[in-house]
Amino acid sequence: MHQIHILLVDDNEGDILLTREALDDARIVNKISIAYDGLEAIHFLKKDPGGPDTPDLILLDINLPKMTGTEVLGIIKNDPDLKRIPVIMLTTSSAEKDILASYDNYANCYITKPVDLDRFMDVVRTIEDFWISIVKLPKAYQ
Amino acid sequence: MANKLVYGVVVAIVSVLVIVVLSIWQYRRIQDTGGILRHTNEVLAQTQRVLNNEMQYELNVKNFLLTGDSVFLQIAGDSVANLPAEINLVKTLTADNPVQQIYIDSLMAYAGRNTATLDKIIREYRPGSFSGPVQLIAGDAKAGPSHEIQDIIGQMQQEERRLLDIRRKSSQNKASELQWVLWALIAAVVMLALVTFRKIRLDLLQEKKLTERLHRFNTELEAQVQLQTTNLKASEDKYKTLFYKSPLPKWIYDEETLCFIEVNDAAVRLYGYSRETFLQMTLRDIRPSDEMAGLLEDMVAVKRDPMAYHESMRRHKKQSGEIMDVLVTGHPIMMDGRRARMVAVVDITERKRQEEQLRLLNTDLGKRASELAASNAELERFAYIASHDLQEPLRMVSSFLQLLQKRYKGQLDQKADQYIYYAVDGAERMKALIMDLLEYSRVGSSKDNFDEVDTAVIMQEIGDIFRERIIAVRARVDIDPLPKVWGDKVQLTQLFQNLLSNALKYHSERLPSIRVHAREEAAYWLFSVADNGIGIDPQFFDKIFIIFQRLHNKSDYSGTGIGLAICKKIVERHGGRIWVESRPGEGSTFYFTISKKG
Repeated sequence: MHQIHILLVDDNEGDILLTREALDDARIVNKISIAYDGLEAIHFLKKDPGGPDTPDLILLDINLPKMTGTEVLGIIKNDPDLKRIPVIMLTTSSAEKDILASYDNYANCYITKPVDLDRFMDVVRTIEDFWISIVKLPKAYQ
Repeated sequence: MANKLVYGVVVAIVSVLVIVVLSIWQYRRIQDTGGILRHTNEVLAQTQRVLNNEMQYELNVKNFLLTGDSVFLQIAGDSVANLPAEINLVKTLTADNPVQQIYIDSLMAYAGRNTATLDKIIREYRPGSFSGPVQLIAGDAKAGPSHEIQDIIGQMQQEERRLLDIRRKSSQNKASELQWVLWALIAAVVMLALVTFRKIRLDLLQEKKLTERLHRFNTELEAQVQLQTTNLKASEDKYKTLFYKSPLPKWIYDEETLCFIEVNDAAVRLYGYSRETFLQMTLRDIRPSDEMAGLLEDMVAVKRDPMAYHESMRRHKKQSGEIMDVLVTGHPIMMDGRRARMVAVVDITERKRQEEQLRLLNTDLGKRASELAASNAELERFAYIASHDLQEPLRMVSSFLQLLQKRYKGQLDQKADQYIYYAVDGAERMKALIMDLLEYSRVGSSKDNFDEVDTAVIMQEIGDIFRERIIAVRARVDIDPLPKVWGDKVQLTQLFQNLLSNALKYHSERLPSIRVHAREEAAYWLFSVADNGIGIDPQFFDKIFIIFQRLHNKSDYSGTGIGLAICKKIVERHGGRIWVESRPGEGSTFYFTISKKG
């Protein structure tokens, strides 16, 4: 099995910890990169597009400092080198406008973080399962 | 008509002329007949003279023979010598008549023989011897020239008389023919005269009739003119009264001089000038000094389009110096051949003041409305952000408490486990409150999603959702026919859902019975959801619609107390109101209205 690299963009340390815990349980992912705000995420992705540090999957929060998740999404999906990377919006927001804005900007899916811990854990494991084990991703980044 | 008359007259004149000409001709003809008569008489006289000569000759010859006196012979010789001349005269007179000429030739011959006889007598005369001449004369007397001459003269005279007779007759015939023509003509003229006369009489009658009619017309016209004059007078009086007694101040001013020509009572009252003063003033005198530009503008407008009606808002000065706002309308009229304008003035000072007040009030109201809208929007935004942002830390609290509970349960003492339990429970409740708050804030004020909604369909869908609960509590739910309304389907669904949910939730020991009903009113639909549940104390009728107001202990009935607050917000958004009628222990009926206008 090849190395799976996930970029987690979230400003909430608690959420990052919870997500990590959930991902660690599954032990499929080898590498988790963290960006604490939108700008950092863009810098990380633009550093070496298509290079070895390019993530296979991006988990993107919406309420981010400096640059919102939807703005980051817009940049990724408009960049020829990055637009193939699946972006999963993982956010506390269940607002219709956020959902629409995300899909309008070609988000691959939109998930509201469940408030309940067990369900949150389930969701993260499901993401991992689906996007890494089931979905066939472009070879360029593998 | 007139033409025919002219023709008649012309024909009459011509006829008369013809008559005159014919008469003259006739006269001439009669004169001619006279001439013939004279001629005949002349011929007769001349022949008589020839005869006389002859007889004189004979007589003297005889006398001579008897007496032997040569004087008689002398006279006889003269007579016989005259005879040819006399005969020639007859010849000349009857030159046109060949019959007479023949007679004359014979006459001449016999006259010659007479002369010869006389010569013979003279030659053979012997005084005292008469045998020869007597023989001669005797022979002559039986068949002598004298006898012949007498005979011829007699015949000639007869011939002349015959001719005369013929001529007279012919002349008489011609004259009578002409007479007939003349009579006919005269008759014609008389007829014509009669016809013309009749015609003229008819015309005169006609004319008389026409004159009568004209007269009648004139009379009528006069009456009408009289009436109109009266009417005009009445009309003038009417308009004078309209002008002078109008409650609206009015005046007429001369366009050229701007002088007031007439001013009505209301104007005198409003402006405070006496009529006499007013009529010596011009438009300039009632304009405040800063309104001269307006006056000039009006004058230019009048000049540019003199026939137009002008209306303008101006400021006028009263005698007291008070300035008022007026609405002035001017209409062009003619006064004694001069261009003038009749002006009506409406004092709008009070109206303008009120308008200004109203405007200020409106501005104020508008400002407040927008402030309120802004404040509402801000509140909604605040509620949304608060609930949304509150979720994040809450999730942290609850998640890590759960993680703690999950991973370290039993590793700490019992008290720690209890603390963790309450912390988790509190976090759960807070989570519910935040979720409700979020939902409440989402019932926005926008009407973008409004559409025709069939409430019967909504109720059916809700019935499906609640099927299990209905069966669980053994409830009876009756749904009467429900209308289609104009609204937001999602929100209306939530409204019915909340009300039905409450009705199912707050049931008493009796089996729940719920009835959903709708009644049409003039401007809205009145819906009701009635139950036979625990009921509500009237003192809480208002409180139940306030957000997070609960009447019951959380352990008796779950819920945050947001349901009815959301219902109220939804109903109000649909232009309606919601209230409850209830008796504790007997049940509650929730009423709400949905405006038909949407």
